[in-house]
Order: sequence, then C-alpha cells, then structure tokens
Amino acid sequence: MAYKKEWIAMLLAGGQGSRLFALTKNLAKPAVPYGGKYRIIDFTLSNCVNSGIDTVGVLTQYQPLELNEYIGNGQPWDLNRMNGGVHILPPYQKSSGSDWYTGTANAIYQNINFVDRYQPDYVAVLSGDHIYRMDYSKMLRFHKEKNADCTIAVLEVPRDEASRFGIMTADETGRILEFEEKPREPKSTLASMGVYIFTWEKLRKQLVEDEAERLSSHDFGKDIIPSMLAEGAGLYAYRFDGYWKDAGTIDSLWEANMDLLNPNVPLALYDPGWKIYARNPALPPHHLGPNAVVSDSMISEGCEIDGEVDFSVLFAGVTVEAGASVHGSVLMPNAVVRAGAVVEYSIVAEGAAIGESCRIGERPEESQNRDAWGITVISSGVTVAGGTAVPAGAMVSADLPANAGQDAAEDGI
Amino acid sequence: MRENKALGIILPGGDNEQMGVLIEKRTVGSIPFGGRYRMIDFILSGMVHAGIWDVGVITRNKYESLMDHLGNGSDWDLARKNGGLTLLPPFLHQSGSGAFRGEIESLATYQGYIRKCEAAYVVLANADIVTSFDLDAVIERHAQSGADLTIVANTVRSREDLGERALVLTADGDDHITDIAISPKWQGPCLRSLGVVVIEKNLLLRQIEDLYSHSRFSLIQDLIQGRCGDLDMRVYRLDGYCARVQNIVSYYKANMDLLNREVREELFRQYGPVLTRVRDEPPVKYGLEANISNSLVADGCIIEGTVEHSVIFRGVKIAKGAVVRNSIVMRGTEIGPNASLSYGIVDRNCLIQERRTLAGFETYPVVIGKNSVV
Repeated sequence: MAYKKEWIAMLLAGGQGSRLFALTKNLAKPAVPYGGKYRIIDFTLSNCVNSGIDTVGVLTQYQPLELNEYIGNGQPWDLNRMNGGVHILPPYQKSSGSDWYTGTANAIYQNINFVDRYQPDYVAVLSGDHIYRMDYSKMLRFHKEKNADCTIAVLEVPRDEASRFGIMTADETGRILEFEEKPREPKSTLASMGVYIFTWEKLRKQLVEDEAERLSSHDFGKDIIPSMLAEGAGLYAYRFDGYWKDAGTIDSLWEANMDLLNPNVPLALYDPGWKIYARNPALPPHHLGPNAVVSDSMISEGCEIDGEVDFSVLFAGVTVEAGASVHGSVLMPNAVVRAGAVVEYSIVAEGAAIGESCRIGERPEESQNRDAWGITVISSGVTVAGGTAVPAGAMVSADLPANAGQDAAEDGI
Repeated sequence: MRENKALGIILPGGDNEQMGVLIEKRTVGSIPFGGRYRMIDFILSGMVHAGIWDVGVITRNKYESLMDHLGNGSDWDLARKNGGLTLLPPFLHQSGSGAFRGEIESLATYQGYIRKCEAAYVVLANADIVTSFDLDAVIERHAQSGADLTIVANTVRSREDLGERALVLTADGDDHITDIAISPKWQGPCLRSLGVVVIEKNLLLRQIEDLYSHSRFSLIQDLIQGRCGDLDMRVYRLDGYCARVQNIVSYYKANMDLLNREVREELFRQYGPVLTRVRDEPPVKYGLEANISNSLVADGCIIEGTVEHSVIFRGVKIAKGAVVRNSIVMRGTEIGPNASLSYGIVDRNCLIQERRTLAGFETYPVVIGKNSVV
C-alpha cells in the first residue's frame, strides 16, 4: 500500500502534435526536442519536482516508445522514489475489455485506481505539451485559500489568438463565471494554460459521472469544467504572468527556440534555484574549431563546430563543418551540416545529415515569394545529398538523393 | 548467475605537492579536468565499461570534494544493491592513527571488503591518468597469461612526458617484466607504468597480509618493486593517447591536448563515453559579440567575450571585451569586462574583475586558487 500524499500530478502526454507533421511522425509531442538539450516534457516534470510534487503519473498513448525510454525510472528528475516517483500509465486491458484513452478526462478516469492508491487531497492535471516555468505550490496555496474545487491557471493572450484557447471570465475574487472552450467570439482574453488543480474527491465524482454521460467527449475543457460550473462548484482562475508557450506548430516551435536567444524573454534557464532537468547524453564539452565563427546562439554538449553559426540553437552532438553556415536555425541532436552547406531558417531534426554545398531554407528578407515563405523542416534521420537546394517552407521526410532539389519543393506543404 | 569480473579499487592520491593549490582541498582524483570531468572519471568509466560493478575508492584525506563528486555512484550506474560504488575512508583501528600510512595499510584495513567481493581479480588503479582503453581486454589477457600481476604501461618518447616519480618497466619480448625502477636516468624511450594493475584477489590478500605484518606499507616500493623477482609480472602495452597528470605543467598540457580532434575522438567516443556527475546546466549561450576559436566549452556558460585555445568548464561567465587565451577556467568562475587572461589556470568560483590582466607562460601557467577574487 502506498503512503498517503497531499497531492500528486497527472501529466497528459498522449498528444500527437499533428501540426508538427514530420517532427512527430515517430514520437509524441512531449518528446519533441526543445531548447538545445531538453524535451518539451522536461519543463512540466521539472516544474513538478521543483514545486515539491514527488508522484507523477504520465499518461501516454500516441507513439510512446521514445517517451517511455526517455522517462525511464525518472532518475534525471529525481523521480526514482521508493514511494511515489514517476509512473508511465498507458491504456491497459481490463476484465471487461480494453479502451484507448478517448479524451483527457477519460484518461484520468481510467487511472482512478492509480490516484486512489496515494489517497491525495489534491490532484494537479497538467499537459506535457507546454514550455513554461511555474511553481505549482503557490497555485495550490491559492486553491486552499479559496477553498476551491478546481483552480485553473490562466494567462492573458492577445485577443486575435483567444479563440485557440479555453477562455473564461472571472469576478474580482478570481471566481470563474463563464468558461468556453475555443470560442469563436471570445468574451475575454483570459486563457486556460491547461494546468488544473482539483480537489480529488470532487474530481473523482465528476469523472465517474462524466464517464456515464454517453454524449460526453470526456474532455476537461469541453465537458468536466462546464459541468462543474453548471453545478455551481467553486472554480477559480489563478493568474500566471511568466513565459508560456504551446509549441504546437512548426512556427511556434521555431519561435520558442529562438525566444531563448532573446534577453527579454523571461524563461530563466540559468536560474540555479529552478533547474530544468533532462536526461543527459554523457558527451564531452563542445568544441569550436579554428574556423568557427559563433554568435547569438545556444550550443550544447558534444558539438563539433568549425563553420559559421549565428542566431541558432544547436542540440547535443551536432557537427557543423568548416565553410558551412547556419543562420536562424534549430539543429536537433546529432544533426550534421557538411562543408559549404548553408542552412537558414530551418529545423533539422535528430540525426539528419545535410550534404556538402546544400542550400536549405532561406531568409525571409531574401525570399522572392514572401507569402509562401516558411520554416524549412528536415525530418529525423534524413540524408540530403550534396548540392541539393531545399526551398523555404519545404518539409523533407525522406532521403533526397543527388539532383532531387526540384522535387523537394513539391514535397513541401 | 551473473559473473562478477573484477573488483575495482581506486587510489585517488592526495599528497602530490607538485599540483600546488589545485589539491589544496582535494585529492588528485577530484581535480577538475577537460571542461566537465574530474580526473577519477577516466579510470572509473573504464571500469564501468569493462563490466566492473564493484568499485571501492580508498580515500586518505581531503576527500570531501571527491565524495561530493561521486555521490552514490548513480551517474556511473554504480548505485547498486549488490556492489556498486563504495567509499573507503580511513578509520581508527589498532595502530591508533586515523590516517593511513600507505596503500598497503589501507588495503589491509579493508581486507574484509575485498574478501567479500566474489570477483576472481582485483584491478588496482591510480586516478591520475587521462586515457580511455579496453580494460576488459587487460583482465582477459591477464587471466589467460597465467601471470601473477599485470601492469598497464605505455611507451614514453620524451623526457618531459615521463615526469617525476614515474615507474619505468623493463620487459622482455614476451612482456615479462624483468626490472622496475622509479625515475631512472633518461636513456631514451621507455615503458612507463600507468598505475593500473590486475592481480588475482587471493594472491593480493596473501601479499597484503604478509607485507602488513612486516610493517611494509608502500604499494609501489614493497609490493610492485619489492616482489618483482618473486612474482610473475607482465606488462600490457597501450599505444593510444595517454597522459599522466603529475604536476601543473602536465595538467595544463593534457587539458590542451583535448583541443586536438583525434584525442577527443579517442578519449570520449572510441571506448564509450567518459561518465561524470550530471549537473543539469543549460546549453552555452554565446552573445552577439562572442568570438571563440579552437576551444572546448562546457554547458551552462554565458560567453560574450573572446576565447581562444582554451578549456572552459561549466557555468563560467566571460563578459564583453574580456579576452581568454591559452587558459583553463573552472566551474563558476567569472571573467569581468575587458579583463585579460593568458596561460592561466583559474580554479572554481573565482572572480577576475574588470580590466584585470593575468598572464603566465606555457611552461609556467599562472594558477589562481579556488574562490579567489582578483
């Protein structure tokens, strides 16, 4: 029998991240590399540990292999515990058949037994898809002060983006009066971050009721929150004003990486009191060779750089040969850029190789066709043969042999 | 049942006054090296890659930094239920003195620990070598040769590389060791011991008992040199990159060797990674005016100045206008705006303030002790 815990976290990591296309072909969105040495899920896991949560259930469903291996026993996050720790919770077979997780609420519902083992007073329901640093313990204090049934973390978003979020209106005490999931005409700019704290007793009851509801889509934003509001439960909005990013599209993933180079973006990775933990590849420090010219960039361990790197984020084990030039790009672990190649405004995924004298992507200011311009993506493991040109906005998901440059444009989306 | 290959025993040293302020508060094994490592990481990783999961680290004094570095061994995958990493500090016993008088006394004190381990062989090793090699092959060769003791050595081609207090071996064509001398007169290229020895466990225990009862405490003089004629000793030759760090100059040179691509390839990739303590630092951030060439830079640094031909450890800050050349800068040190450092070794958590200038020379690098403010 597990010991009682005051609170535990349930982390929704089943998202496919379909708008990341080729990058999430073989891995779930929370496992997408970000920020030179992290995976997106490291932020939520580290937030949990730094906030004092020592029991985390990670709900996986889509392409879980890489994520499962990455999380392992939780040691990098200090979540390898005798009591509690991190647990991967995939859908499983029950005495009466087996079910995929049909919605976010259903995923928690199917794991009620897991939560019950710890008899928690509170459960934090988090998304493994977002990049932010947040102290959930302050939010829990707020939840207790308000004697709330559910507290939702919110942030102000620009009005034209509001219809992508769960939008709510709240009174001056923070009590939520209305909630609408992705409204066409948003009534406010207070958006849900997908971070909830529930009083477990209340949530448990709600999940069981929702499961019996045949028309429900078993989703927190669409079903659980609206029905709690309708029942007059105490729902409160907890304001967060730090950096928060949903790197759900190619553009926003690229932007989120570039944000790290901006001194005005308040995602202080260098704060020793709130470290973001990650699994470590055990590589030597990176080496900048005699021809290297590096500025305004983040570079991780094990890289061998002898070319030009400017305004870019390089993950562990990347090679940039002499005479190659990388600008405005994200090079994921073990990517290789051969001599003379030029990579601009691109995301080169894990282990992809750019051959000699290739031209990948282009700068928006140099683009002939500004409307069609976009970030170029080279998928993981792809080899682009020497001399190939891949235009801006193209997405290359299979090897490009020599003289395939023109076809690459057609592969774009 | 899984086979336990060997017991590893590391002697991280601590009394090499040639290392100056670098070992004021630490053992040779815990001297920071190569941007993110400590000296002990090389031999410890070698043991782990050879499948040795029982490793004892004998400490004599100043072992706080070593304990801090090794922790419970989990970064080397040595946090185990059976075996794993064990720190063996001195404890008061019948002789009345807390500190060990020599390695033989340390080993005698821990005879129980050695006996309990079910391995057939023991690998005894110093922690002052920078090399990666296949230790498994050494144990294998030792087992097949029927030798009593195998010493790992490499050929040294210059007098400077030999260093002081080196153990020079003479061996015949069959690798039988016929003579062992400490720092003999230079007579051209010679075989130098790397301080890694394989010996059968029961033989080691018998030798320790015998030597200890005769008040002989030195591993090198009494066991290795003293029993050279009696025991069948063989040499195992390494021909790859090897450096032994025994003074400031050899320490400086070995760090600078890492700027050579072939050396990095051999040390960090060919025989598996060199494992070390994980510190969860973010990647290095280079500013708009950063200007870096031929340097090794570890995670967590923020670099806005000029760095050439240097080894920069984790979490170092180099401000705008600062110039660092031919230097080693350790973890957490800050080089202020427009400061200049050339041929320097700056220990941990130092502050070189604005516009300060420090310069040494290749054969005499200036060394700044831990926590100093210049």
